[in-house]
Amino acid sequence: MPDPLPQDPELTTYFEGLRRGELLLQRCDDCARAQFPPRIHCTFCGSRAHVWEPSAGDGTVYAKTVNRRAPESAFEHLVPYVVAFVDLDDGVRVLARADAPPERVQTGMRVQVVADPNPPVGDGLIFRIRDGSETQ
Amino acid sequence: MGRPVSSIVGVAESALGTVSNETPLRMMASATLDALEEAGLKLADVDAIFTAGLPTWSPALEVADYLGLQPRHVNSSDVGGSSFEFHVAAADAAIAAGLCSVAVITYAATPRQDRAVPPLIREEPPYTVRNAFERPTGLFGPDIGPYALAADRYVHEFGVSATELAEVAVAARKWANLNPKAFRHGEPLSIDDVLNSPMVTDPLHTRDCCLITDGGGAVVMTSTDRAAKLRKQPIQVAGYGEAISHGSISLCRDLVLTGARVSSAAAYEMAGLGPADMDVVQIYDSFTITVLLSLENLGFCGPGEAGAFVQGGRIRPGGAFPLNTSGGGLSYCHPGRFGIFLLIEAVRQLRAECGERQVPGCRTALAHGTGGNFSSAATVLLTNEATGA
Repeated sequence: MPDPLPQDPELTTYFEGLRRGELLLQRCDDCARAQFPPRIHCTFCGSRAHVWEPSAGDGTVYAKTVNRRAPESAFEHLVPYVVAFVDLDDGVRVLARADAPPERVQTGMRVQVVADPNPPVGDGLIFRIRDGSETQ
Repeated sequence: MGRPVSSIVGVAESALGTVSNETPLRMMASATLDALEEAGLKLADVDAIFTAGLPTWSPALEVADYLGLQPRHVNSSDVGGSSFEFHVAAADAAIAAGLCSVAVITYAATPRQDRAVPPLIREEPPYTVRNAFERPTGLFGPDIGPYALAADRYVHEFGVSATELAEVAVAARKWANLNPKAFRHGEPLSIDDVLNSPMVTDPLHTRDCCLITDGGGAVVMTSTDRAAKLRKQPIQVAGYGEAISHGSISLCRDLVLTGARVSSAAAYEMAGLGPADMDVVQIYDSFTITVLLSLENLGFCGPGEAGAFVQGGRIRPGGAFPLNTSGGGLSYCHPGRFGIFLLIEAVRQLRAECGERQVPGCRTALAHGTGGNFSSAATVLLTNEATGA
């Protein structure tokens, strides 16, 4: 039984997307910039008009850390695992957990962010390493 | 009113370390009474209370109730560990505006007494950025995961080494060994000890992280005119600056360009001073990375240079750049929000009260607070000489 979704138009759209396996991003209908997390307005121009676009999830690891301990029991079976900021090509930065062992994840590498099919808590994002993006 | 408007006239700590059988309210009152006593002021003189972090609906009102005061000005603004540097700025402005005359800034907490480990998940509604977007990834919180991300980015951009980071912890321990009140007083720490301590969130080891202790403190401020008539040598608030870059780490735009860049520029301009004028420097050391990034963003060295800057004993006792002379949050005390102790140590250095760890000839001091996840930054510049315009 998944956790109840927040009762908020933008948050509900985003999280319902994740539950369908889609990463939806808000793009401003006026200034055309993407933003994350979703909100009622565009933080760049103030517009309240936006469209939802599915993201391909392609991006670059901006920073990472290896969690040697679990912050809560739901993550204990995953330790050690990487959590990283990924700069998506869409123009936003998201936080995601690596679906790969820590030794394979490098800052600066190309990855693909997707909805976590088995989120330990709530609904979140994971990322996979792109073929050919690992330096030997 | 010309600058400097206000001065610090009293400082004190409460009991520190492992405190049993004492509440944060009693500890704040104890520190406040001691700080007022050294200033030669009475509790009834206090007409403003600044505090943060007490887990209640209005920390300042709770403290006012305990002290038995009906202050005409209060401020419970909480931006994390740097709150008290923000409070110095707010108190200075309130004194200048005539909103108050004698301001007490105080803090205490007992995370050690309550339980040894702070909560890893903040109790917040489900719609905060942390709960909605960060918690599902399993980021180790509330602070160490975000600071580890900053450290990783710093390593990636500039190639700083774990040994260079470790020097910050080792230097702090050397200072702590000159401070009898320090939690780790008498315990040696080597670079290898830091590097061999367990990794918590890479690249931060256990010994890259601040202590968890009980403790509290108080700082008393009044107008510079009134300060001249009080018991202690007044320490003037020569300048300050504040900056908010984000709340949650997810909204941080650049992990190595911190709010210190903005807050220190404003402080230097107000004081007519620059980084080269500082005789002693107190920088919030929640983690070793916090110090390296702050040194760069405060203008003491260039981007990527802090790792090399701290080498060769420069920041250790006797070095050319006396830093965190109390032993800091890494080795002296860290009851959740350390910012109040940066001010207390800076004032004591400027009064030449620091005994074995005294930096000779201190005339200017910088205290820089960092709060949240590199979220809030405030820089306070203090002097012990009349520099008024």
